[in-house]
Amino acid sequence: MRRVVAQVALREGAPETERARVAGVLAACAGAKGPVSRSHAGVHHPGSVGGGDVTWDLLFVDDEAVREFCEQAGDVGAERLLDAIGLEAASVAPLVEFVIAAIPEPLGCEISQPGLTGVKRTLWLEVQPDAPEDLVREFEREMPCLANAVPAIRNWSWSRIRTAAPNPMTTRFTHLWEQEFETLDGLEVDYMSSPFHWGFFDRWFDPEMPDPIVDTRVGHLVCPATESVLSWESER
Amino acid sequence: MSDERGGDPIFVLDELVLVPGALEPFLEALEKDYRPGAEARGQRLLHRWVTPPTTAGGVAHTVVLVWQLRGVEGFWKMRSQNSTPEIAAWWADAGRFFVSRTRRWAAEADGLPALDALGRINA
Repeated sequence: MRRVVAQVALREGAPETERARVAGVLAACAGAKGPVSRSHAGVHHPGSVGGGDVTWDLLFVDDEAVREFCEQAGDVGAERLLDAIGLEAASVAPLVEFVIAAIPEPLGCEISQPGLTGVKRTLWLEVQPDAPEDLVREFEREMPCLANAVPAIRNWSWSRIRTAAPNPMTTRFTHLWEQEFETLDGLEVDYMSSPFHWGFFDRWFDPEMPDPIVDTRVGHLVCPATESVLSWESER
Repeated sequence: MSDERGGDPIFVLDELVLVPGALEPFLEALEKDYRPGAEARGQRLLHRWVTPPTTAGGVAHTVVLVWQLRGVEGFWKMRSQNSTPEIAAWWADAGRFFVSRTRRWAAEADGLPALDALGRINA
């Protein structure tokens, strides 16, 4: 089993109503005979920036299925990609501009509420290629402290994006910081107001700091969570 | 005054260790090229502290700039505006005035419990 996280962008000019239709079709693509064993897709909240229209979480039956998926996703061949997923997914391909998919390699993960429904926030970030290695390791060690400071983060996963096989897809993003909240307030109030966040941890991101290491072009993607996708792997 | 989003002021502490002789040109560049934009982003300059407090003897100075922001909302308002090429260029150019610098965030000691509580409203 292998979890994949994807951001899906619709073609410019696609009607607003089509986002929900695409998300619905993608969410329904898991099937007993196909390569996808679980699927969840949510339309991005209006405050989202830097990553398309829909967050799509998938659980694959094996690495070979992931390899096939990533090869096609990396091709901007949304049509081929959705063909590969099968079922009705191909029917929404003409609406899709691109899919960026990543395999998280967890540095840490904590699931305190596996039955959660609420909100998922995925932060796609790129650690700058010239960032000093010791600072990158410090940044990676520090991220879970943010979850400790903000109890409204019920479940979280902090990962590097896999670059080795089976992950032929390339993306400039290097890390994924995924969180699940019961409510949007957990994100918009607790998370954003925590002094650990703005008063300490944000130094890795703030371009006016002497040593920021994260590219300012992050993907801050928030969508409804009808289930806890971060719990999938622990359920196996 | 405070509100649920942390309306109590928060402070930015910039500490710059200047190269000898750079105090005057640094302060001039700061006032001309950085302060107006920073204040437009909500940073109010409260202090320009200099140590040692003398211009005699050609000493190398350290400058501490104390800026104030209007609480947590003020912080994120500022952060939503400071990722520009112009600001990056200012800091790159200002590098000729200093040998090192830090930027830290601070608040009144008595206000820390209330600030921490903001991150736990929906705990």
